[in-house]
Amino acid sequence: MMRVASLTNRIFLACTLLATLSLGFAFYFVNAKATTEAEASLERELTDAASLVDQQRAQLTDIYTGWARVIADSSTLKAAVDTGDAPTVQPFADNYVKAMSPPPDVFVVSDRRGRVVAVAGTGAAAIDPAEGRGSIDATSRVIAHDRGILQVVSVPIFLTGDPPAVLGRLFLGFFLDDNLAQRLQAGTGSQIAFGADGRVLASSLPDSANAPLGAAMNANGITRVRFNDEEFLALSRSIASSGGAPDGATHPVVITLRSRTERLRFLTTVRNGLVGALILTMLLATILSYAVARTMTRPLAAVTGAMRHVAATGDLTRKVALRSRAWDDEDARVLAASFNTLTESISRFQQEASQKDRLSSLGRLSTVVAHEIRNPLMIIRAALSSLRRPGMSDLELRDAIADIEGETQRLNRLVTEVLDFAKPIRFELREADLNEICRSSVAAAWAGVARDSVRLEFDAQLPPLVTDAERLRTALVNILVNARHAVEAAAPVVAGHGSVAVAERPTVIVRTMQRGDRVEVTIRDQGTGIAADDMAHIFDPYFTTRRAGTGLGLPISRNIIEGLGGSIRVRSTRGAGTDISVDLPLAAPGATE
Amino acid sequence: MRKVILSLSLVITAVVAVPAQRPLGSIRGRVDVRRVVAAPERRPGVADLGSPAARDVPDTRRAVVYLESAPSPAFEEREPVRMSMDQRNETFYPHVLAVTVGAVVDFPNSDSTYHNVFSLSKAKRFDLGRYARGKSKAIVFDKPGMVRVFCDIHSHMSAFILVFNHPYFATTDAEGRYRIDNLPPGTYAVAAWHEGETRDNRSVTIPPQGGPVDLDFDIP
Repeated sequence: MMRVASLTNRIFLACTLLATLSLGFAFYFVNAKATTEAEASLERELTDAASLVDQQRAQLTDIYTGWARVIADSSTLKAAVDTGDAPTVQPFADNYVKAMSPPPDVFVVSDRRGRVVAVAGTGAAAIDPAEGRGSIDATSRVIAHDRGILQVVSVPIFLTGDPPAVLGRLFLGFFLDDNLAQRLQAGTGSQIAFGADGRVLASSLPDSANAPLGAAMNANGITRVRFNDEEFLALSRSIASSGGAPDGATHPVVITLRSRTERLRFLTTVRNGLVGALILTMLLATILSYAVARTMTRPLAAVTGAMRHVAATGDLTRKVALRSRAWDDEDARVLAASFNTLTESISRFQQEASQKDRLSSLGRLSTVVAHEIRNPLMIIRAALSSLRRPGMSDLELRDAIADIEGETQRLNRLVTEVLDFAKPIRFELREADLNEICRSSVAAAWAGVARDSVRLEFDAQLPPLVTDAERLRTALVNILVNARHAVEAAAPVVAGHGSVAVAERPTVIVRTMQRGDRVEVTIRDQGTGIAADDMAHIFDPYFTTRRAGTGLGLPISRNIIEGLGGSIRVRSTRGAGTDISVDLPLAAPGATE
Repeated sequence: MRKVILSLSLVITAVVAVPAQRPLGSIRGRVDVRRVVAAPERRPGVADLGSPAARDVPDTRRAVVYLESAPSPAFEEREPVRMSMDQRNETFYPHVLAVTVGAVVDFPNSDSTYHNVFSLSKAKRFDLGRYARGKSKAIVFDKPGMVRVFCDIHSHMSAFILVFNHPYFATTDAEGRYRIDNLPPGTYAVAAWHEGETRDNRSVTIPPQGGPVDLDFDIP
């Protein structure tokens, strides 16, 4: 199933369908028209040919009648016939036959009693010499003969008078035979056959056609005849005798045939050409419509690709790269340009928003900072006033100095954290050992405190990591300090060093492992856990549950980890402990490697 | 076939002996040709242009009555006869000419055109060739029989010349009358001929005292 919803496919389908329909209709129309025209012209030609054959036959008959009249009117023939003596007449007949070209197939002279007095020609035997005896009418009749149809004209040999003195009769005839059929075929372009009573007597066709032709002989109008794997249109026309000659029992016909197969073969050639043109045009139309669709969909695909990339990576700097092509769709180009403008705008707005966010955070920070600063300042001032007091003891002096020192450190840490959060992080990536980073982080988190509650489960096979080791350590330290505080808060007794059995104390487990092309640091503590209400705010800046906390530890950690291409996941059960997983790529984004 | 019979009969008659110095009789009568014979339509010729020539009516009504068996005196030596058959207005005139054997027949051309006279008949085959106006050619008919003459230029022209070896024959006049004289008494077969064929045969007896006998023929 094609994706019809796709614009490319729609345009493509529409164009192809349009081309197919229009061309198909054109083909159908032309084909139907050509077929009808071919059939009609075939029938027309057939009728014309039949008429031409009729005309030819009539003309030949007329010519023979003319000859017969001229010959019958010759004095010598009259004188000869009048003798009724065959040896007298025969030489005249022979002379006439010799003089005629082509020689007639029948040249018979009968005397006034109907006796033959001269005879020549191959068809002479078929003549009844007594026919028309004493009549002065010219007759024309057709006789079925094995060689074909014999067309015979007969004219009287007579002396003018009233009544005219009939001396005899001259019969002149010619065969409608194979020879004439072939000549007529050459002249009319149609096959010709002569026959009578369902039997083909002569034709321009091979003998194998005789049987099917015989069947078509008595049909009225145009019929179809099939033989030799060819279909013919056949038109049968009867030839009648005229001039009072008896018609006899036979019904001679002329059949004109035209090959329908041959005509259709020509039509098939035309049709094949049409189909070829059709396929070619459709192919062209398909390619063209595909190309047109592409001009629109390629820019769209570029835009879509850029959108996907932006959606996947959040990289708003990604632009839709449009190579300027003259035939690309203008609308799609505008769309691409708009998308570029849009991402630029979003990027700008985002920068502005984050700036605003940062500024508003700074506002809130100021309050916290002011509050945070004021407490140490009060303590420092109190310590300073005790220092000013005369006669203070060494202990008091040490206390005061310790107070000042401690609060100054606290202030310093506060300032560092605020600065860390406020300023954009710039990473310095280089190869580092995650296990080492973890180890130093633990050392920093538990600085000055017994580390017996920490258990390290490092994966010794861990590959080196490309990251900013210092920043990552900061992030981990923040998490570990939280964990330390959590376990310390969960400890039933804050006792002296090593006074409580290890097994009974809540522990922090730091574990590293590799997962594919990423590494994971898991920090699991069995501390107090995080309240469900607080869970949603743990990454909010300045959210803290400790009196001395700035609430910036975890937000900073997350900033750093996400900046290094990693992610942080927190699972916690109140009273059971917290499980923090830091997932990092082997190479931080931006690393040249 | 009829012509053959005719010529044969003419020969056979020679055998019949007739006593001499007897009173002579004659046969007379009328041959009525029933068939209305009109003159043939004359074909217009180049010569007719401008001045229509007077038309001659061919005398196709004419018949010949003759004895099929003739008495012996018939074969006595006779003076050769000279007769004429004119050609005018593209017609042989007269249409029927009856002569005895040895007769000379002239064929003058009175037309302005050339004419030819020929015959293919067995009794006399001849061809006088073509000749111009005013010329005349003659031919001797030395055998009994019927001779039909034609003109090879004008195919509508034809005429009959009947040649007898005895003098007992007569051509009918315009009214169809005829008369055969000098006949010894006896019984004779008389035939009436018209237009190429013997149409009627009769038997007639001349009484011993001689005298005329009437015999009419009716030809349908």
